[in-house]
Amino acid sequence: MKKRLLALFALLVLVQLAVPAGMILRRELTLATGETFRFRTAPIDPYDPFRGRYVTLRLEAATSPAPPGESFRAGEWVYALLGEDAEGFARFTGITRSRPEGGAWLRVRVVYGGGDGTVHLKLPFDRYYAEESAAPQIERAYWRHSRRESREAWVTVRVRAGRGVLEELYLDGLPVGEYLARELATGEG
Amino acid sequence: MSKKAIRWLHDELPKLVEAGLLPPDEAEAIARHYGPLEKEGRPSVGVLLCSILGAALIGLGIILLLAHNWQSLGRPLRVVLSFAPLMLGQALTGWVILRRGESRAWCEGSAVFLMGAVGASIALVGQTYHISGDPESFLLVWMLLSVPLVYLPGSSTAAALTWVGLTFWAAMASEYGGSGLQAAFWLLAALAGPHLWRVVRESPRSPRAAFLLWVLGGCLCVATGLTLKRAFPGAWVPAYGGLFASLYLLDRAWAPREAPLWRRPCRLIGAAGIVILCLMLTFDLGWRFASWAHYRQVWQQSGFSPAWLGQVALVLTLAGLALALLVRTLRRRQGGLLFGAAGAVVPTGYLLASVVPADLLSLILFNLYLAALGVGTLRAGLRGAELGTVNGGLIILTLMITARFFDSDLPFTLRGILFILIGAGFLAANLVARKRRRER
Repeated sequence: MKKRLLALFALLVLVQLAVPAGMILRRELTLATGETFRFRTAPIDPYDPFRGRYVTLRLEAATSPAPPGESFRAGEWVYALLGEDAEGFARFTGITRSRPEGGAWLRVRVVYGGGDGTVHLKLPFDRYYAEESAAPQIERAYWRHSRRESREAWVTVRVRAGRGVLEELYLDGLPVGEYLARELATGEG
Repeated sequence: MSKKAIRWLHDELPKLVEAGLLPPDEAEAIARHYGPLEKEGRPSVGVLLCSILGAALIGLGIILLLAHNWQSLGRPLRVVLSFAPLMLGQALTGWVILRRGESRAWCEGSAVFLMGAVGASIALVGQTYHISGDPESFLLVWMLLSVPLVYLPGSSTAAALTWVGLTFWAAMASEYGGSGLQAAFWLLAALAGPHLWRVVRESPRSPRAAFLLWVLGGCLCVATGLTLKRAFPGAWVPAYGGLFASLYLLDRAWAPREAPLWRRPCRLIGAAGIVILCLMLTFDLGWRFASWAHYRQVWQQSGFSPAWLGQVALVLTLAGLALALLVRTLRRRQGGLLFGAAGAVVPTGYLLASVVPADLLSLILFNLYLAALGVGTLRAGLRGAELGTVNGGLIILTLMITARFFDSDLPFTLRGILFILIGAGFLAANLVARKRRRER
């Protein structure tokens, strides 16, 4: 009797391990083999992007031109096609309801369809988790580098088969860790 | 001889018999000589609570340590750390199943710890990969992975926690922008049903059964509204009517009558629910979205999806269950017909209001029924000299009369006099009941 209980428990153990393991494997695969895109962060108006132990990112590219004549509901899942602008930053070139055949694309949700032919999207990478002591510094630096005059903050995202995984946050051209180290060395922050 | 030694002896004796070193009847004699393996008696509530709280606190402490988000470690190491609480919890629970399966304290504690660990693991992975929050699916996955713990190692706390978690999930799913799958709550909550059935069957009087029923009753009260409110206009009326009447009649069928009130959650929740529901239905406002006028003019059905059919089926099931239990109670001449009749009165009132172009009939019906409930409860309390029941009846009547006062335009003097009369009535009834009790 006990053997049967143990066997059932072993099965439960496997299922419980499979869920986080699956999450990890899918994302590692995307990080290893996905195409890299840089998403610029949107200019900050007086709005606190810091919530708890993560920094909320507002990305510029979160809108896309809509195909003429079609309307999209809030909360609807669509496929957004990715391209690059003149400066090498990511932008969406269009959205469709059917899975695209080739090219880079992301599966995203519609926030609302603007009447002017653009659709606002909710991107799946809108937060950057940081250590609780580092987060305030990152927040301040993020503000500094996201104002309209100086726009040198972006995130790199790996894209594969519709899934985007956030790789790193760059401030003033440096990865966050190195940027903070530099600030520490020069006595700022 | 110590418990550990006895356990060792009982483990070893079969092996010796198998190896041919000891004939079976001698082995039995030895076992009998040292006494049977004492099944651990029901643990005291204190020990149980300590075990559950201790496990929960340790789990939370580990979560906080790991939530520090050790950014200085590389991602691979953080991935390994994400698995740490989960594997720890699983190892602990496995050991409990193997060695301490009879101890309820160990079973409950390890199950609670493992439940927390599962959620922590998923959250930690999310933190490592900067996964955007989606609390609805996170909660659903967490609960689904926790349900088996109700049976392996066997924990009532896990059952209660999964019911609460699923209720929160249903709330998120029914919000604007949610998945809309909240009706699945009933199916998922039923997964822990067999455990509840077994506990109630074995010991209907125990605190454990009462605890499970209180939690389930509370969750059902919330979930009925969340999952069935969009079935059709006023679906909440037959749904809640069926739910409360069923709970009340089930208690009558199962629980022994002499148990104190807090050990009969179904009765309390059922009765209170029926009173509040009927009170709401004596107001004009309650019918505004459920009645004939609304059906005719306002309601637009946007297609017969399977989800919608499922919701309608659930409402009908609840109402049908109450009716079936009522018929059973009538046939067996059991008590509880006064409140149990709600199973028939509520659907009748609802149908009346939906079919007849005047709410007045239903309003009168529920006023009469509520008055009957109050008077009936009062009479039962006076007859049995139970103060609690007497006051319960008086409260029902007071609520009803108060409601009618705020409804109508009686002058203040009249209202004042009537309130004084009711207050005097309260006191008089209490005195009579006390006198009768002293006479016994």
